[in-house]
Parts: sequence; C-alpha cells; structure tokens
Amino acid sequence: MKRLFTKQNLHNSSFPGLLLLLLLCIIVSTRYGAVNISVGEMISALQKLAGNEELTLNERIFIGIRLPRALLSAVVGASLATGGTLMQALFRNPIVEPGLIGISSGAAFGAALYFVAGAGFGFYTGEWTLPLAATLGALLAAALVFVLSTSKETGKRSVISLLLTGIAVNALFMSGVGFLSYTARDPQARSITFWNLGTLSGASWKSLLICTTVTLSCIVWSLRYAKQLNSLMLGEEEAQHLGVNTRRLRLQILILNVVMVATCTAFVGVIGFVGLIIPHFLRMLLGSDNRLLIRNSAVAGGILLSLADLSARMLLRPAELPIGIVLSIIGVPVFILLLRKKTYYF
Amino acid sequence: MITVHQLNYSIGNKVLLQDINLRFEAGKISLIIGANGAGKSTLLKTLCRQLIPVSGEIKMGHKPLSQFGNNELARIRAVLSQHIDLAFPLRVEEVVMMGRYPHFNNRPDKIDYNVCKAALESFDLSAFADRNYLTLSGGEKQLVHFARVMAQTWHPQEGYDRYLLLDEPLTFLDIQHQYQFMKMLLKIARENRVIVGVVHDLNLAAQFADHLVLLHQGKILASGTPTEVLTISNITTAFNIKPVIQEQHGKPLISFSV
Repeated sequence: MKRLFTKQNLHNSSFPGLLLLLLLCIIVSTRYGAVNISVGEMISALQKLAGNEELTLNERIFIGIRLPRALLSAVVGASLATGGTLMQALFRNPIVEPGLIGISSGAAFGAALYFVAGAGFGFYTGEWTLPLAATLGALLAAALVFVLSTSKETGKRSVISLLLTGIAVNALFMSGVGFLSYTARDPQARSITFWNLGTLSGASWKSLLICTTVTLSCIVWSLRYAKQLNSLMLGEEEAQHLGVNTRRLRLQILILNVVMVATCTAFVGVIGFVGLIIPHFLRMLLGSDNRLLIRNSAVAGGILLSLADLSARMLLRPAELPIGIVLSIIGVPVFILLLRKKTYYF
Repeated sequence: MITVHQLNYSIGNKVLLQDINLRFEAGKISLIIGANGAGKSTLLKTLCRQLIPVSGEIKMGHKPLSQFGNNELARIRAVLSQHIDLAFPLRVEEVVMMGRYPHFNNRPDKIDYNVCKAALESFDLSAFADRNYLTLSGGEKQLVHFARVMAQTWHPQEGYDRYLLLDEPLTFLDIQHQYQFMKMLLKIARENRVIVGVVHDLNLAAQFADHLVLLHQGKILASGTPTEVLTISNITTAFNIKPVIQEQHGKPLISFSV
C-alpha cells in the first residue's frame, strides 16, 4: 500500500494546503469581531460594491474595516515570517529575528519621536506622518548597523560583527524610546507603549496596498536566493566553493529584509515573535530546505497573524488587546512545547 | 593541470608565500606538507581563489583562475575542508545535492538526482540518505562531504579538467577512516582529475602522494616524488626535528625519537 503521509507528499502539499488554510483564516477573521458578519453579508457586500449600490451598516464594516484588516494581518505576518526565515538562513543562526539589524527598534524610535514631538510641538500630522517617521527610524537604524559593522581595514562585513552591532544599535534605539516615553506625558507615553505591542486597528485599503505591493515583490524576489541560502548552511567558505558570491548575497538579503519589514512595521507597530516562531515551526515540519521554507513561511506567517489578530479582537470583546500580547500569551507556550519535543537538533 | 607562476602573497609586511612556481598534473595526487605557518593553507586558499595573490598567476588548464566565473569554476573545481558544521538539520541526501547546485537553476534535473544517488552509493552511504546529517559521527560526516564534492564534479565538463582541492581533510578522522579516504582518493585520481591537498601526516603523504611539495617559511623547500622530498636534511630544516627514515614497500617511512 502506498503511504499517504510521506515526506515527499508533505513537501508537495504543504504550500497549497497552507494557502487554503490562510484563506479560511482570513474569512473567519473577517466574520467575527465586535459585530459578527455572516458569509451572506460578505457576498452581498461584494456584489453591491461591484454594482455600485448602497451598503448596509454590516456590509460597510466588512468592506471598510474588517476585510482590509484581515488582509493586512496576513500580509504583515507574511512579511515578518519571511524576513525571519531569510535572516536565520543568512546568519546561520536559529535565534535571529527580522528586527535584529535595528529595524524594529529604529521604527519604534521614529514612532516615539512622532508621538512626543508631533503632539508636543503641534506639527502637522496627517495619516502618513507616523508610518513615515517609523520607516525613517528603521532605515536610519539599519544604515547605522551597516556602516558600523564594516571593518575599517578590509572594508568587509562579517556576520558576527553584523550581529553584535545589530544588538548594540537595538539597545541604543530602545533606550531612546525609553527616554522618550519617560519624558512624555501620559497619553503620549501610552501611545508609545501600544505601538510597541503592535496593533492592526489602523488598517486601511491604502496601507494594505502599500504593504502588499512591497511584501509580495520582496518575497517573490527572495525566492531566487533560496538555493544560495541553502549552500550558506555549510558555512561561508563552502558556499563560495559552490560558486556563491556571499558578500553580494548578504547585501541583497539584508536590503530585502529591511525594505519588507520596515514597511510593515511602520503601519502596524512592532510585532515580535512571528519571525522567530514560524521559521522554527516549518523547519520542524518540512526540514531546512529554504526552497520550501521561504514560500511556506510567508503563508504560515499570514495564518498566525490573522489568527492572532482575531484573538486580539475577540478575547476582551468589545475591547481590543494589543496583538503582541496575544502572540506571547498563546504563542510562547505552544512554541516551548514544540521545542521540548526532541525531534529538532542544532 | 594547475600552473602556479611566480606567486607571491603577503599581508601587510608579512610575506606568507614567496616565488612559488608549481605544476600540478592530472591523474596524480599532489600533497603539500610543511610545518605550521609554512604557508600550506595560504597556498591552498590562493588555489581556491579565496585569497587573491599580490603578484603572480595561477592557471587552471589554459585559463587564468581570475578569469573564471563563479559558477563556471564551481562546476569543475570542488573543495573539501577539514571540518564542516551545519547550522540546521538537513538530510544527508540534501547535503550531497548541494554539490549539484552549480549545475541547476531552481530545481534539480534528473541527472542531478542520478549523480546524487551514484555519489552516495560510491561511498556506501545509500543507507544514510534519509538520516539527519547532524546525528552522524565525525567520520561519517566527512564521507558525506566527500560524496558532496564528488557530486559537484561528477561528470567532466567539455574543455576542462576536473579539480579537487583538499584542505587537511583527514584531521578529524580515525586511522580506519583516514585510509578509507586515501584509497578513495587513489581511485579518483585514476579518473584523470587534478588532486591537490594539504596534509599533516608525513607517512600518509609518503604512502599516497605522487607529487609532494614541502613548504618552509613561505617558500618551496623541495618538490618531487616522496623519496626525493622526504630526506633527512629537508625534514630537519622544515620541521626543526631530526627524523629516522626507513624504507617500506619502496616508500620512505619516517619516525622521530624523543
């Protein structure tokens, strides 16, 4: 008898399977919330939208709030999880997160500066000011890591110096965030705290469009590096012997990760853990081949974050929890349970 | 064939290789020996194109090494190092398949799967194909990498020789694995490959090398057959210790007394 659950079958069916699951999660995530929306209402809303007809209240909630939010959570999850997979492969280290090279702390600093200075000095603040400030902060921090980790003598950048410089720059920017929230008055300090725990409540079709365009193109682009990232598992020299230009590869992967993660972080705040747990989970399930891991981590990240956002909205309904807290409460125990199964080696 | 012409390499004021002229021929096992710091690894690294010589030229066949494309080179030249650790768990078959990476774009072809299978078979590793690499012993791991670099240069490429460079591949192997390894090397050399390696064990070098190069302070002290190179005066100069040399099956057998 042919075995149904062979490794090959698992490898082939994982991507379509996860994609189907993601679709289901998005539908469930749009269905439930402070107000429940039936599938019938979803369909009629889409039909009316196409026919330019007047929408009911529930249909307006579905089109204007629920749907962009569910989709944005999937896209952000994809971005963070893929970033995590790429960075772990690049650094050959399973504890690396996409925010490592300063992105999330830089973004947090930019956002904190916006909350404190923007409110304190009465700057003009439109809907794009916050994401812009966060993006600039992220890019500044990443650039700082790049420059500072380059050796003065050889002009080269070693993985270990990148890692350590990343940690140092993160610490610097986080203390900047700490200083700003310490000096800030209460509502601003709360805004900073909330932003650092992440929320998808600001989702709109515009932010969705930007995040989707950037994330999808970065993920598709990164697929071409899967093979080279695999050979990097043997070490940098061995990869070179297999014909890989490791310096160029590193630069390209870092840039892809910065662009993708900075953009998403700018719109939803700092969301940790997704970029760490998803690559681990998939590696347990599918092995370490990056050709499988990259695309699957994109979809699995989307699933995790859309479920987390659903829980964030449902647990204290009608109030909302920050998504970072939900991820930690549910995700950490699950993650530790998985790690304690002794099937995984380093 | 590898031709090394007037090769010099230095870092700052420190001269690591000086006026190296060598020829490594196909079908022979060429081994480089010398004391620590004599320049063995530096020489091998310049041959691998990991270090760029300050002056001089290295040619693979008729083409200067510097003019090869990354993939072009990786298809004909494989490098086996002493100790390779993986950061993540991988199946043995996947590790060997990495040797085929320079040959395919996104997905392995039928030919790549066949080569992989044949490489595993030739090292008696077929039973290991599905094992997690990280659970293997040191000797088994090294055999997997041997299979990987063989898969990398399995078929000859039109117009090129095939090259195998070895950077102290025996360091972490026990006696049985060392001899198993060297016997495989003898078999491979007969396939008309250019094999250049760095080794520490003088007796192993004497027994298996067709061509020995003895380096001393960045220069070639002697180059030729084991009997020509492994003389009392050469060894005393290079290693600063006086050997006793006997003969066994027509090859020198070296021992040292305390």
